[in-house]
Amino acid sequence: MSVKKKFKGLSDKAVSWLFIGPTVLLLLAINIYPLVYAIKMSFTNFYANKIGREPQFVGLKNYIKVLNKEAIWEKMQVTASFMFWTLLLQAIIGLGLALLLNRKFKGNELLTTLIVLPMMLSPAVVGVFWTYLYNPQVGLFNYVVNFFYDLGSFDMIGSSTLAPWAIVIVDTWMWTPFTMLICLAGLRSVPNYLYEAAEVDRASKWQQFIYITLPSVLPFLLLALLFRGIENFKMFDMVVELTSGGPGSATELASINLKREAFEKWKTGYSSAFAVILFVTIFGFGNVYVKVMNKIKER
Amino acid sequence: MAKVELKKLFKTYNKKIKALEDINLTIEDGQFFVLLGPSGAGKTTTLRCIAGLEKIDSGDVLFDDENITHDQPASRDVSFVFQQYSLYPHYTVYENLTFPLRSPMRKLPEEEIKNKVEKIAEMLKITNKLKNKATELSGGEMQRVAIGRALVREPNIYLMDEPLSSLDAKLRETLRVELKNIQLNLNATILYVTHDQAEATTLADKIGVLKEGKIVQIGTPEEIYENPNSIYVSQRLGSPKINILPGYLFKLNNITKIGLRPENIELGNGPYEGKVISTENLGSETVVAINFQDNEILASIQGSYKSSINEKINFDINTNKVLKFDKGDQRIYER
Repeated sequence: MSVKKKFKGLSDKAVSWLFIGPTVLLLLAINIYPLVYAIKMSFTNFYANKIGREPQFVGLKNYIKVLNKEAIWEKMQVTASFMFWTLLLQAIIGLGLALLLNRKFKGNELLTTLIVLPMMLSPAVVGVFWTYLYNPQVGLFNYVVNFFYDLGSFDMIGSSTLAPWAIVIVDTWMWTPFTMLICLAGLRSVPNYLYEAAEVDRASKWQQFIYITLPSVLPFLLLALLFRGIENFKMFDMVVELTSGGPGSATELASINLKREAFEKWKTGYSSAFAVILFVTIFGFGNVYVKVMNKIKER
Repeated sequence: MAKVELKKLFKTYNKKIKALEDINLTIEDGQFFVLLGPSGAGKTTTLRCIAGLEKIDSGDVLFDDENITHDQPASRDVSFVFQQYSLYPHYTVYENLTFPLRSPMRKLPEEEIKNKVEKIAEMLKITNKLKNKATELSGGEMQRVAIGRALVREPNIYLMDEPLSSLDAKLRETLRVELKNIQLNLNATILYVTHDQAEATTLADKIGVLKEGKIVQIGTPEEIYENPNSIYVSQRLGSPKINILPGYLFKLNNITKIGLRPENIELGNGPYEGKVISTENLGSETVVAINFQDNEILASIQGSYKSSINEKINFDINTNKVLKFDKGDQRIYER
């Protein structure tokens, strides 16, 4: 055997499998297997707390039950309105802040760092300390609002009309920096000579924004909103810490309801069906969104 | 169109790097003025100062005797062809060309916009590309759109920053001719920046030669070529390049350096003898490189010229055309 053959390394294909193998295995173990298992469970009347009782196949019964339950649609509505307002506010405020921070001024970098801070906190911690900020007697939030406009005593978390806004405000406070950062990256990628050309072409500031800034930054903004949309569809920790879904079920998002069905009432089969429905929803929306986003990018 | 004047213009970058020093020049209404110089000489900075894209340190910019030094770019009404194409990437060629016409400062009826754009597109031969996106064009097409975007309106002055430099030789030649025709038809005032001497001589009514932020000579292409005031200026024009030689070679002992254009050397017979280093046949002319007392001299001869390397060769020079320079590389004028 020649020396060359003896010392021949692994083939390219073998090397590539060596690198992706561990990842694939991990994904299979902690993502794909539970997903398949959950899909299987969703067709049974399994109760995880009833040991020794063999689950029975029940067909589509769980799915029909979920989709016919009015309370589920209420949770979906709560989730949808939470997503709508958080995404809208984060898009507008995030882009606005990015436009401001894209200008050159002293302390620009320090300010960016400060604005980004909320994003780095743990959602559970954020939930806990905002319960203090929202405290009707001593909360800073209530104090500040009353300082500018005297509303008297009000309870953001305790009132069923205000509580949905309470979680929208906290999520916007925490995640606007994220949309801002991504928009800022988009703005920084716009070459300055385009603005110079527009200036010479006597375009107004508004025209420059509409013709140059917006089309350049839009793909970035849409990407940020995709991430935020997926995250907020499964929002759990912050809201649980802040309101626990209350008062009543005013802020009970689909994900919170799901956790209750699965791990408080132990209706494993039923909640698996619910989980699969949520998964398909977000997966479907996500795909459509990405298609639309790519169309806009190509434009 | 307007007459444009620069008076005592100074410009530094970051308070240290001198970009322009005491620039004085007048571009008459309808004149094609070319700024010539190597990169870093301040050509682009001059254009940007006129457009208002750079703040100047001191001095004045005048359009038709009106001082506009402190006006915003938009209110100066100039058009600018940038060296990088700088088209608006998200829009079609048509939209790019209409952009300057949609400024709130000039409300035009849609019909008129359409006519103007179509006329320009035809002139620049991009009519079939009007519906394409700006990013789908080749380099040459992009640059033609950029030129078109400048030409759709009639500003005070057209500022062009090496607009043809990124095109291939053939297209460059066509567009050069086209540009000159357009300028004559519109009677346009153009300030054109280039380091290409062919562009400078063919296009210019007047050439301003820049050196390290200063204007060293202004004149017609003929004046700059025949009568340069320094070695630096003499080297800007002419291909093959002018020969700069020590004076003693031709018994001009009190003169440091002389400049001798290659076409002012006659081969065949004469008092001087050298050796052929190389010959280069360019079709209409032949460039012969001669070693003369360890100095390389280029001579250009009409038509073809046959000789072999290391062959001894006699030549003569046209003494009337010899340019004389002093120690500081400045021209010595004879009375």
